Amino acid sequence: MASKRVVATALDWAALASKLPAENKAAFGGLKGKVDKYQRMVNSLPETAPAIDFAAYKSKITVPGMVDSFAEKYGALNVPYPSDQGRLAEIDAQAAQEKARYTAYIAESNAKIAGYSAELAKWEAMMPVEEMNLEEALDAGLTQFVIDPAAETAFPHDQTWEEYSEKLAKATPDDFH
Amino acid sequence: MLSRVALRSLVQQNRASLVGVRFASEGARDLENFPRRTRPVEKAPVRMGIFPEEWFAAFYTKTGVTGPYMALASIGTFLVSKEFFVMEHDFYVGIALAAVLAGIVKSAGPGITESINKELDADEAVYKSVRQNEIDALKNAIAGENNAQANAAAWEDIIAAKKEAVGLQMEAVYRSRLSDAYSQVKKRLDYQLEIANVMRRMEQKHMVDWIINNVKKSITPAQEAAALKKCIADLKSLSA
Repeated sequence: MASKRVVATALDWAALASKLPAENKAAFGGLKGKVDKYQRMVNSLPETAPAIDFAAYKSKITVPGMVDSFAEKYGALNVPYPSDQGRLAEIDAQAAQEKARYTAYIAESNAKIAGYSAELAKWEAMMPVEEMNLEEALDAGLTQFVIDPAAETAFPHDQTWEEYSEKLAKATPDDFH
Repeated sequence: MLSRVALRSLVQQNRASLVGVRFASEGARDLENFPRRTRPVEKAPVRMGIFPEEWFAAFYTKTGVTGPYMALASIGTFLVSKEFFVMEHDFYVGIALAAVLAGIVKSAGPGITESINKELDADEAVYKSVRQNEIDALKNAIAGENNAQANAAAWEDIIAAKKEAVGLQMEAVYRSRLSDAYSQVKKRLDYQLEIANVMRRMEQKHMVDWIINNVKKSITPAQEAAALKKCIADLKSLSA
């Protein structure tokens, strides 16, 4: 990473912000704030070491050899580029984790989409409900319009046999008038 | 014999349109030869309000366009003249009733038709919505899932953003180190420059003072008196 120096952002922050859910907006704002802060610092400082006019000093300063030795040493100065102290490796590890989560989520999502598509195909293949007769409605599974004989309920068909037998078991002689 | 169905087959009209072979228990019935029955929505075509079109079509091949009218007229004349159809009180009341009913239907008919149609449309909409709502909900769910997948892909950009933050921070530190070095060197050089200036100024001042003091000391009293006398003489000559 020492060969590539980052001097500006290359991301589309607006597009990225629109993709995030509301709960992450605060953390995203924090990240963007940091990037902006460092960007401002980078922009305000000069890119290379500024030059010093040693010739002007040479004529005026009396200490022998000082200006020359300073000029030589300043020219040979090699400021080390700071190391990332392992942060980039941390971020890469996070990236691997996120990728795993993402692929799992996509797989789950695709399974759901497959389920929805199958149901959608079933509903689209169904004939229009307003043209059905009761038999066809029963075949299609629309039991809100038709009493299903297979359900084995008795008039008035508002509870299953199990519910009725439970009610009977708990009943006192006064309940059924 | 006069049933419409019989006449229809007699004149080889088209059969009622198929609603489609999407029958849930498909295979149980031959739907081409025995199509699914549909209730007709519009009334069958009639002429003069009561006589079905099928009668006119039946007569057309044998007696042309005027055939049925002639048949109606001649049969009607026969019935009336032989007094099979007696023109008595009920007949005249019937004419009046027909007129009154026609008036009522013409005036109130469209309004009633509209309100009934609205009710029927509402009922139909209920049935339509059963299927349509399911389809819409499923389509929305699929679109939502696709959207969520697209949004979830933002993790890559977040990682890039974090790396940028780190990179910019390092760059800022590097640049500040550079400017620190510059300012330190410049500070020392400027300090030496100031020292040299101060030294020279002090030397200059000291030399001037020393010269002046020495000159003052070298002036003897005799010279001082002679200078004073000369000054007074010059003044006298100037004032004269």
